[in-house]
Amino acid sequence: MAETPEEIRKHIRLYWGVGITLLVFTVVTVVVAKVTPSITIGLLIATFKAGLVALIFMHLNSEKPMIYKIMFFTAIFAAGLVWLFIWSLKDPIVR
Amino acid sequence: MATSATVRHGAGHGDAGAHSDHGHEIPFWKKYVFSTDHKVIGIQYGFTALVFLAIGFYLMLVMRWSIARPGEALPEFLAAFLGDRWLNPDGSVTPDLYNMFGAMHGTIMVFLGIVPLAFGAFGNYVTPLQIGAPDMAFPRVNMASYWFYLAGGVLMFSSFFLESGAAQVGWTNYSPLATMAHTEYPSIFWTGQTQWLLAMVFLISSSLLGAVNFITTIINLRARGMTWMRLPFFVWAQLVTAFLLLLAFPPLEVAAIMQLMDRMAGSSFFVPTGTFLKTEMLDVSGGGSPLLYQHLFWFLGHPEVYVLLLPGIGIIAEVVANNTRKPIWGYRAMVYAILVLGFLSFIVWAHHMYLTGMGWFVSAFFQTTTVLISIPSVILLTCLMISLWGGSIRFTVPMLWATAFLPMFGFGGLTGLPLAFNLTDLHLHDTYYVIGHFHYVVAPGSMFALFAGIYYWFPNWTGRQMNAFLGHLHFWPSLVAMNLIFLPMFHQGMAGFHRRWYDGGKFFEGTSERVFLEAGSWMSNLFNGGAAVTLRDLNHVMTFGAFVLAVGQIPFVLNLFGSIMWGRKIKDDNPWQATTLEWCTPTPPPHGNFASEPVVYRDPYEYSVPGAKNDFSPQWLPDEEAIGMAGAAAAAERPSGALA
Amino acid sequence: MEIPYTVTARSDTGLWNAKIGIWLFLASEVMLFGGLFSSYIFLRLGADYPWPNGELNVPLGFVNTVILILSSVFVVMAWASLKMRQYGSYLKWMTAVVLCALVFLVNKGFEYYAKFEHKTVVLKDRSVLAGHIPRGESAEIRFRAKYATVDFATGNHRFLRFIDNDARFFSEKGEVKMGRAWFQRHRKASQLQARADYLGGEASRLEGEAEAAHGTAAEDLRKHAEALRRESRALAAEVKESYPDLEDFAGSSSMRFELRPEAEISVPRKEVTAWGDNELTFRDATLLEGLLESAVVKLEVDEIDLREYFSRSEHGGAERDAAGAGIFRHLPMGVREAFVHHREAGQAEFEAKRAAWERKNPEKAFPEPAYPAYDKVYLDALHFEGGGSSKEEEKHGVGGGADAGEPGGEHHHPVVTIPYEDIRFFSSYTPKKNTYYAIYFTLTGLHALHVLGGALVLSFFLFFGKSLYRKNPEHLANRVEVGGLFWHFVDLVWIFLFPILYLM
Repeated sequence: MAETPEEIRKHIRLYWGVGITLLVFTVVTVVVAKVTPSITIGLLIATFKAGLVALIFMHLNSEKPMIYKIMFFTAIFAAGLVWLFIWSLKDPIVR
Repeated sequence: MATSATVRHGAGHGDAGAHSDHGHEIPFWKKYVFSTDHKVIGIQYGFTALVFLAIGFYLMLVMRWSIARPGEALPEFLAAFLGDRWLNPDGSVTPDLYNMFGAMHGTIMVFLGIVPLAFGAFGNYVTPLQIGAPDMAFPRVNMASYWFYLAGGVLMFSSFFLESGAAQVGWTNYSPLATMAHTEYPSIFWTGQTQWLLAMVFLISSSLLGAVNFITTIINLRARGMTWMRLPFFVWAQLVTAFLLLLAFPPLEVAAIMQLMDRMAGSSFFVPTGTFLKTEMLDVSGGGSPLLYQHLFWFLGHPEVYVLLLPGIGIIAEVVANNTRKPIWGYRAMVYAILVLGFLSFIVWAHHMYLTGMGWFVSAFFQTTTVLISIPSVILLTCLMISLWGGSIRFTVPMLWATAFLPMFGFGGLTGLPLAFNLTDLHLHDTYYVIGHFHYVVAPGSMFALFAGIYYWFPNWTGRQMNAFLGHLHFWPSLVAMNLIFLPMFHQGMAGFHRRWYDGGKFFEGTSERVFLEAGSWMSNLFNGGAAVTLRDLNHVMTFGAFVLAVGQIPFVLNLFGSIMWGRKIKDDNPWQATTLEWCTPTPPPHGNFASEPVVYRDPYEYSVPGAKNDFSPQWLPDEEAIGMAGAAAAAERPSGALA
Repeated sequence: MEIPYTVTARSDTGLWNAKIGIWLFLASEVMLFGGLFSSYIFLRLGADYPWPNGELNVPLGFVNTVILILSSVFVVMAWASLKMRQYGSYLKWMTAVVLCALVFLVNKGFEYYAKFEHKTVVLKDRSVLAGHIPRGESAEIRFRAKYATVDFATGNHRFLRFIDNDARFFSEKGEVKMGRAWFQRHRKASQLQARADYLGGEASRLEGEAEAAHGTAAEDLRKHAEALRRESRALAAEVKESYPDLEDFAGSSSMRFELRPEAEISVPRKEVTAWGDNELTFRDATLLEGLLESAVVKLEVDEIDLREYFSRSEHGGAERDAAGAGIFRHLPMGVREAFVHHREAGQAEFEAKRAAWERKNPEKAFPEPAYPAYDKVYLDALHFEGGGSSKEEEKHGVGGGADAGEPGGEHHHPVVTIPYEDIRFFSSYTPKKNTYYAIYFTLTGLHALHVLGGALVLSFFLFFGKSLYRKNPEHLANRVEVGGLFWHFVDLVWIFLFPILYLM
């Protein structure tokens, strides 16, 4: 992560670039939704945008190992939460 | 706290400005009421939690009276707290009162009693001391955490005095029953059922703040030399507990918010299409799912069980190591086991929901993970058991509780296995068997550990010892009474006694009047004058046990308050001759804890090190002082777990 | 005492305290929104009704997305300015962030308001109308009450809220001050009376036993019975003395009052469980007798939805006749014909699509939609002759009703009057409407609370940051970084909320 003023000055262009990319993809997601009702595409775009925010704005691209460990387990449990909920809904007792 | 002057830094150091730390300048209300000192907050948590435990215990006595003697007037000392409103004209307990007390007993004991005592009180008081930190990482957040807890607790308790009474739908608050309950009252907001949800939001916020604080403190404020594998096991237990609270509570918050929406905004998150209340079709859209509520609830609910338990195991590890005068057997195995336990506890929750109609594969998955989680639990218990082997055990009062904890917790754990299996759970679900199982884990399990902790750390807090005779007088009746209460539950449960019978099975004679002890058998000769004993008669045994337990707590209360004032003063800051850092502070520890910044030289449980001059080598002493010059060389040879 | 590592990082973890703290907090937030998102999926997969699609204001949602993304960039800029020790520039960016948050919340307010004003009516046959209640009208049930019967077991004073004049309640004995206190008094009196009755019964039972017993045992029983009898009498006397007005009613389960003057009641549908021409029953079983004045919903219709009408198999489902749907009995004749025409066109288009698909994929089955889109239509998209409504002759255009009789134009929506007895379900576009709107309001509401909380914290840094900046600029930069991390997370959540709620 950028810590010194010089490094940060260099990063400012990146931050604006990410901001503009996010805006562009917001337009894209609206346009795509008009063309096709595909949920997958919409979620892929959203995940890409969220990834940009997390990696660049929230500096997850260069964080300390401890933060990665915490967020790794959080991600696993969140995924388990979603996946097991859906599985229990889709697995009927009689088939 | 006169000694505290020695550790204070100059005023220029703290940039908090207004919150200057000069001992003599802190007014009383800031020092003891709105304190940011982790020890004071811990004590606040402890006493509040003990009050709530007493309230929860009282609710249980009323319930047990109703179970053993349905339709009989409550004795005056129990009825004194109740208005006429909730009693029958003949003075007996109404079903509504029983439901209310059942729901609130669970809620109060779990969320207002044991968690705050185990995590809030012991965690706050002991953790920073054991890792050598001056305080928690965020002292003001810590204070907020306590006040959120108190607000939630007061809100929860005051719901008893509403027109509707408190929540009545069980501590799990299952929808759609919980959505519809109390909707006939003039204001749905001011009913126990809604206030329960609001209070839960406060309690959850409190736990989240606490969890963030604990984890940050343990990660970042460890003293020099306190590497991960030198952490006392209690700290590991608190760390895992904090993670459980941090990640498991938010889904319950979601459930509480959604149920609040269902009640207040007319939504149907948990109300399926076509739900009737009495004869009226509900004026809701439907389309929701009660199963969703159960998922969200038990996603918290299961890790919560380990939140109740793990701090207890941590305390027991400290007490066992100290009183066997030897290192914990398999410290690393225990650390890894508790981490695995924490991880697995997130993916076992649906074993509470086998009867909801989930499919085979999902049930099989949760059955497998549930059986898997018994492995780390057994590792923990086995390590503690083996730690006893070959030790020169001192049966101090905390050690009594610890030794009782081990088999009692084992009972609770082993009786859980039939509940893990789908097929057997179908039979045992919602019976007294389940009650017996988890009360063995929590009551003689966690509670015994917490008592051990109170007796163990009391000298550190007050500089005085608790009275050992009163301690024995507390321990033995408690041990016997606990088993009198909970052991017969397994028999009743396997015979099909439902956990929510307010009359103890009087109405269901076919089930409840079956013979337990044949007439004329030696047992019935011994206990019942030769007459047959039915399963329902066991209710009398259990209720008797409950009242014995109540009487057994009187010595504890006397001891606790009496010892604060008149207890035997300790001569040394380290009365138990322990090795962990909380005993290297002045007694009682001042604000800021340590006279000088502690440095850690060794593993947490270096008892009876060969060649050392004492049978304990404290973590804070360098080898030359702790072991003596001769032993230091030998100690340097030893392989050490300090490198992690 | 000073807590270490509040500003500078600890060497082995490389982190200062608040950095760990905020990431832990975000981890719990991930679980919070994870729980909400999985609830969303759970509800959507399990929905037994057509999941709404495109019913929200997409332009407004788009604008809000842009605002949040911009504010995210601004907050990074504010932090970068602090790191470069440019306080003036920090103030500029941080002000922009807080303004963005305010605009976002105002937009949200507009969006919510529009939904609160929008109503839907589901008829008994599950045909659906949506629209607005004309200005000056209300959907409440109006009733003129002459008598009120309150039930002692379940009744309470809530019904008094809906009486709009100073009704006075008279029993046979005279006026009663009806209200919370009256109910409490009565409850207390009946408890005492019940206790007295119980003790009396016990006394009689003991006396009976005494008859059968002999000697001292009989004597003891008699003494005991006498004591109980005394206590019972004392209680009964207390009831008589303290509650003279209630004496006559003790023992009966309900009580009837006359209302003088007759009371005007105006009550939302959800408060009552049943009504008839002369009766109205509240949730707590309080029964009013009198005259029902109106139990109708007036709606300025802008949308017709027959998807559930056709999908519910218990009523014949897809075999149903479009023209037979209940809503057309209330709408102008032209609408029915226009809709049937519209539907046939839609079906033809659909069949053509199906044929094309089957030519292209001969071995695969055509993905049959559960709820064909052509069964739902906005009235603006229909061309019909507005020849007057079939039942009611009223016409209220948005402009004031002057354009009655004109063909269906942009601002011409027929006004219908539907009696509640035909209605299965009536709701605004609020959480009550269905689980979609429930989760929509919960998700966006919680998100808005996060925006508000973040804005408050960031404004605190904006307005009160100066002194900390002078003392230790790095400390302020750290705080802004922590606040910024939370702000980015709020933005990140919205990035998911926008497509799943507005677009898909």
